[in-house]
Amino acid sequence: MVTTRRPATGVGPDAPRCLGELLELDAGPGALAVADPDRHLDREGLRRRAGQVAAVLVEHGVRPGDRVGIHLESSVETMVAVHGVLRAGGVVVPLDPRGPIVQVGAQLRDCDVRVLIGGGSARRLAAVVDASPVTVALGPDEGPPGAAAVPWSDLWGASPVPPRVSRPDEPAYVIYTSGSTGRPKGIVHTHASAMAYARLSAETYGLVRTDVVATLSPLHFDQSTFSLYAAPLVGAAALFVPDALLRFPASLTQVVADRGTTVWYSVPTLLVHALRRGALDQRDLSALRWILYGGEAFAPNLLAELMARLPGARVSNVYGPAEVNQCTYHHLDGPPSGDEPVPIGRAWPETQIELVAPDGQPVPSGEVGELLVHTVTAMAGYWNQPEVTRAAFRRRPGADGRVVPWYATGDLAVERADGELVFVGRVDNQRKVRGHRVELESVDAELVRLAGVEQAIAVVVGGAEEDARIVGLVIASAAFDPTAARRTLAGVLPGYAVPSELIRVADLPTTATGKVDRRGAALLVPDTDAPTLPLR
Amino acid sequence: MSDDLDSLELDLLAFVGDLVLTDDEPFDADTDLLLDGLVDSMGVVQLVHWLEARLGTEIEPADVVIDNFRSVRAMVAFARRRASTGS
Repeated sequence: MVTTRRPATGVGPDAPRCLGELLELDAGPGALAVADPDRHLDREGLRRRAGQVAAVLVEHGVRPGDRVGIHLESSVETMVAVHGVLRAGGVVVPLDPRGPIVQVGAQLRDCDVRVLIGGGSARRLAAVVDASPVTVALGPDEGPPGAAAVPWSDLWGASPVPPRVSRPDEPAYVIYTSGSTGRPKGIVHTHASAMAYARLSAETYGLVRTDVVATLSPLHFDQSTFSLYAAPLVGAAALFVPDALLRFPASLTQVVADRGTTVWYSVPTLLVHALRRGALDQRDLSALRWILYGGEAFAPNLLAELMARLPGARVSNVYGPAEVNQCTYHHLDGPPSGDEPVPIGRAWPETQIELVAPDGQPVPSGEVGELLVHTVTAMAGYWNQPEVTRAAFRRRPGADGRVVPWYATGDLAVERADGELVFVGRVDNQRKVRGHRVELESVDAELVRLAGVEQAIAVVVGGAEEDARIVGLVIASAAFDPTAARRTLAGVLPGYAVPSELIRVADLPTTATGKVDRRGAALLVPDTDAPTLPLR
Repeated sequence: MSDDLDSLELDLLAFVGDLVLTDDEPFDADTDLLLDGLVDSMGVVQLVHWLEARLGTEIEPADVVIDNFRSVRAMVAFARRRASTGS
């Protein structure tokens, strides 16, 4: 099966040629360009500040192609910083400002980041600098030891520079994902793939200048590219909220309402939190016209409940691993009925999708196959890892018969009789926790390193009403201390990958081949109504 | 009731101490628990459950806002306001 879509409608001669030029188009006087709960900038103000950041970056030796780390909470500054880097011709490397230092340091070393635009506590920044090749930090008032600091206040005295025009095949940003081996994998998107994504998503959702787009996920999560690039492409405004706000649905919905948000994009978990605890009956969300969700499946009954609560908004299921940005969509015509999963839909424009059997042969409609995708929005590869990149792509004929690279998603899907694709699982042990990718092997590896642990396996439990969470099952000696163990894990794994519980077991089930049976092990986790505290 | 609230700060500090997963970030009643991600989204849910059990009353979703939960001191102030208004 090959599904192909016609090319998207062309863009005008004045269209930006690269991400650095995205702010050049005039959106009209005073048009809101970016906002957070406390501040906002119009298009002119955003362009000017991004130009100033670019000027200071160039002054500090940033050359086209150099990677610049962004270690900031989502905010107006984030938008300024990202576009500043792009205007200087630099490559944006978004980082998790609350991720483990070990992880952030490994990412900064992997793509050799010398200049960081940073916020957060002095203590945190000092640790990041210490663990990385960074020598210049933009943002902090005082330099962390080992790095020169340029405070924000100094930046606003600089003369803005015009954008450097980057070639389509030059890298624009690198988003990190954890591999199963523990070595970070930097997904490299070029100006061509990023611009194609901005254009196709703006077209698919009919974005216009008056839209206020809120991508409610952290910067280092690939969903953020929708606000960062698709919104400015059409002169729409991007709303950013700090991570803390994502933990308080009632505060979040207040900001979303106050800012007149028209497009909400997040993982389903956040929408479920908004539905349950967002005080929606007291919020005016009448401006909301699109709810986009992605990263994981949305339980049909909860989605139906949400749609009943927000009847003015259309809902679309967004699908696509970070390696290809997005590749399919499914606009819901009405609330889902029954327990049928919502399809991931059909290929969007300039994209081909094929479901194949393990031998690479296309599967007939109705049968499960791995989803391969050939698209203009695909990554160039993983940073500095040619072998891993080669393994991620299959070379096979495209629609016109020429052999082209197809990204092998590792996702299993089936094509329904009506041509819609439905996600059914994974070929490996990658799982989604609140929309984040977790390779369970990488959690296993950290579990068995803990003091007193003889054998261990990580499983995912929950989902739908209860947040999906990771539980570690361990066979351990008396020396094992679950509380200390979770602290150790929090130092090496991102928050969503830290097991919420460590359960001591006497034995673990094995498969016929003698390996630990992950599915069987998951049955050892007792049912709970609510997240529980760690055992102690 | 007031005795109960007087010990709330200490009890909360102990509970939050268990929630916080880093040893190296010291914290007290005024520490911004949200700034450096000391407490994540699941932690917030656990905090709300714990407070509900401790206060013996349900907390409205509309009250679970950043200003009421930013620090241990903010949570104690929120509990006192509720007690004084009888809600």
